[in-house]
Amino acid sequence: MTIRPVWLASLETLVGAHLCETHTRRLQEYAVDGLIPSAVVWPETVEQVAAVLQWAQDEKLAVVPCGSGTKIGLGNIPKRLDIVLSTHRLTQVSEYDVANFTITAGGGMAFAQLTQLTAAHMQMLPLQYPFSTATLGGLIAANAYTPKRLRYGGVRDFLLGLRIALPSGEIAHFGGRVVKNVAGYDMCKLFLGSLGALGIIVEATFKLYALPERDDTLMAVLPSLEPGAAAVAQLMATQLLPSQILLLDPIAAQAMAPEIATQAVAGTALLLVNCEGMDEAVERQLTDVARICQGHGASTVQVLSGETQLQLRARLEAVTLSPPPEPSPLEGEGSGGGGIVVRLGTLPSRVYTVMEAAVQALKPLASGAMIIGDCGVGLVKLCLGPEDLATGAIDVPLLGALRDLAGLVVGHGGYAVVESASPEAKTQLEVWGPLASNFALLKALKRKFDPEGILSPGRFIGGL
Amino acid sequence: MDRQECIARLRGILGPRDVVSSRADCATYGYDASVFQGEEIVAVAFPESAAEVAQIVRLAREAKIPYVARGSGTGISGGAIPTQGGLVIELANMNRVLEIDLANQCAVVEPGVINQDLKELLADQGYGHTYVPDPGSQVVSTIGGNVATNAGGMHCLKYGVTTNHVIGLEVVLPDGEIVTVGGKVLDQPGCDLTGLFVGSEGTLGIVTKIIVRIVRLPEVVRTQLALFPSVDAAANAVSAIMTAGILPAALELLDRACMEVVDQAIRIGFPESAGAALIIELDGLKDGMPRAIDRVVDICKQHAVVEIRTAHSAEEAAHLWLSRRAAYGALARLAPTCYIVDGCVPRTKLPEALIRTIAIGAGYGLTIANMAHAGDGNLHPAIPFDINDPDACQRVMACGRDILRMCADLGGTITGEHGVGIEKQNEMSFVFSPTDLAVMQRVKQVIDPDHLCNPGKIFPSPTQPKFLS
Repeated sequence: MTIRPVWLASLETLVGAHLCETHTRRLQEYAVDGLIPSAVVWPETVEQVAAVLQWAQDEKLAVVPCGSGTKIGLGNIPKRLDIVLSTHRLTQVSEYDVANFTITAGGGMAFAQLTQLTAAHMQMLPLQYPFSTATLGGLIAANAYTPKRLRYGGVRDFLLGLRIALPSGEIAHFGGRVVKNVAGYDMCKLFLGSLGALGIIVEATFKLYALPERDDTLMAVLPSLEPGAAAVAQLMATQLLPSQILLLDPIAAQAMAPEIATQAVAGTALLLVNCEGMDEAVERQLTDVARICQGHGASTVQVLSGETQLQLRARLEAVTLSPPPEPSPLEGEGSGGGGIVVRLGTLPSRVYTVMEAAVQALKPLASGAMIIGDCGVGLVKLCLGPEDLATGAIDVPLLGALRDLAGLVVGHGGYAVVESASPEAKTQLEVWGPLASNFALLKALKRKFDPEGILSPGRFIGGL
Repeated sequence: MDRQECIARLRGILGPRDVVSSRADCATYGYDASVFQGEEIVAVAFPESAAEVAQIVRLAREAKIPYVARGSGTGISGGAIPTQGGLVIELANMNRVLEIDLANQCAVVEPGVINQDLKELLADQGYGHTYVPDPGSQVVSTIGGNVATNAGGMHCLKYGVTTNHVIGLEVVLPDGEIVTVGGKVLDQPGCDLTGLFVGSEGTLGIVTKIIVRIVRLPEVVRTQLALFPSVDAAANAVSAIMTAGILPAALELLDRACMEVVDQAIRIGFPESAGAALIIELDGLKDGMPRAIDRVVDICKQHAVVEIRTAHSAEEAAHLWLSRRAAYGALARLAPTCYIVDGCVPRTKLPEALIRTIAIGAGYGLTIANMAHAGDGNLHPAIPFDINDPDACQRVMACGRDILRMCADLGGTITGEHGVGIEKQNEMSFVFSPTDLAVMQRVKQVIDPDHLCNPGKIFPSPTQPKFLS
């Protein structure tokens, strides 16, 4: 059965009926935290996005923008949801300036698609693994974790320009297509991490890098987390320039590298160090890192490249994006996903402390929990699978443990953000953690850019 | 609130020594390193803490007078000039390095810390660290000022500009509240407000604490000076180096006019046949470096290089850099004043931009010496002129404006690293639509609704900046 909302005819006039969906079964696939929209719309042009927003503001209809849905689990449960606006048809490349290493593409373009284009010219945007289905707009709106941040920086360091559709119906562009630009406010940064609460990212310009000659990952099996952390500390004090340093607890280690873990003694931790660049530099780094790891008791050290490295990365991505319980056109985690992923931001020097605390706290309560630390960036991901949660809700001891771990990082200037959880679990957790001193500022900006509160209402920090 | 009461209240907050109010003393704070000047101010305040800054801001709000934060006053776009009078809040006394955290590769500093001082301090830490951004003014400019303008420098190509190296700020907002954005922990949830404040030219608040990224000094640095027959050849070599997958730390270009000025001043000894000089600096791990250098030399040869000088020591490298770093000083030999333009174009458009720059100058009867951060496409045409000649002033400004329009037309922008200030307010319309600017101004309206925090900057204005007199 399909219930046609009274406003549907207007929406169909704006974008064409073929770009609107109101069939109940399809709408369920676009649920956000269990809330089912009344319509999904796929605008084909930037102007259509702006027109839909302006109309939605007039009609006071709640709109949640959505790319591939890999981060749709982020944020509070929306207060209202009328329309999901998919950016999937905004995939046009308006300019790929190969010689100047810049690309301008639609907000709905998948990262994997962009990677294919740039790889053909021996260039790359080192923000995600090459197979990522996340959209460019989504990466910006979520200020997504970038695996190689240690070497290359985050989304903020590659974003040169943006086009934004606003609830006012305006289309504004900021930044530009050159690598140095200080004309006016750096508005790109306002929309970075705004999770669809201020405007919809319809186009973005990024700077690109040349593909490295070589890109390999050293994998070392260490007796436990502690020597792993000691090896990292030693590595960080050198002049080596790794792209990523990951430390995996025994459970995560087994899941990520089953072929090694079966040979190793239970309880071993895994250290992954990615090195890129010229052949000679990569060779030297791998040699030095191997020596450091052996000095801390590594039993096995091996180098992954090509296909095996890609497989490892696919596993890493799969675990940190906990999949939804049922197949869905939204890639990655769905709104009602079975597991919980928590991102703990902390100082690099505290990653081990936080990981150890997480192991101690979660082992008796969630035996399958995986704990992965990015030691160069200062990040610990806690990934709890559906099997660790008897129902959608979190039982009291586990909830207490998660709160304690959040407190442990927040107390030292860090943050705790729930990246994905069931709606029941979200009502129990502080999804964004405690409010920062700049919350009043964020609130005032939200009110100015979205005065009627139609964009992703409630999902953002502090329920904005 | 009259002038005397305002001064008395300021003295009440800061004590008598930290308020300057004589007309003669105040007059010296009406300038920066640009060719413009401001209006008469009430006083200059020298706060020593965020709490004092907040009290001053609240006082200014009560008195309904504007205020401008100031560091060393080295900006060349007029961003720190008090164009509407009021208070100058001088942050020079807030110059403490509060923390150096080597394990987490960051440092916490006050806004008055001098860029070069921080670098020197860090070089002696642990195994040798640095804060990367190095604007030309680094010997005197403050980190706070660098944050305000999102300053660039010679090493942006590989390492980025100031915003890429600032991870958190403490800001006194125009309502007098002290807030923190970002922090030592990266990628805090929510909008990147740190990035929004960096480059806002002191119009959204006053930064009282800055958390900067620090990095290990590279294992090796290799500096070369390559002389090419023409700007075209040099610029094409730059593009070829980048296309080869090599990302130098710096690629600095000087045209013939600039080389001659430098040679007259410091006797570098450029050959007659050289039409452009290119400083190429590679850094990183020692492994692979010889092959990268060989490749760069090959590329230069393919582009008809006349001569390549390679530094074999830090001293020799410094000497090669002198030809670039001495350029501004050398230009002072030609005329009492030098106007520096700050356009940016896609790198491959640089030869065309430089040729058109010379032609635009000729059209106004002006000689132009060009410097450029060639890897970034950021050109700094330098126009020597006599500021006491009103006709010359008009020609120079019109020439600068035409150059920026040309940069915008080539797909670039009107300022790569110096900021808009009062100099390029009306040129903003070259790169932004009225809608873009209206949306941008909403941020100002939200944060500074009374328009007292460094007012009348950045956005298009009917008021013409006042020349130095």
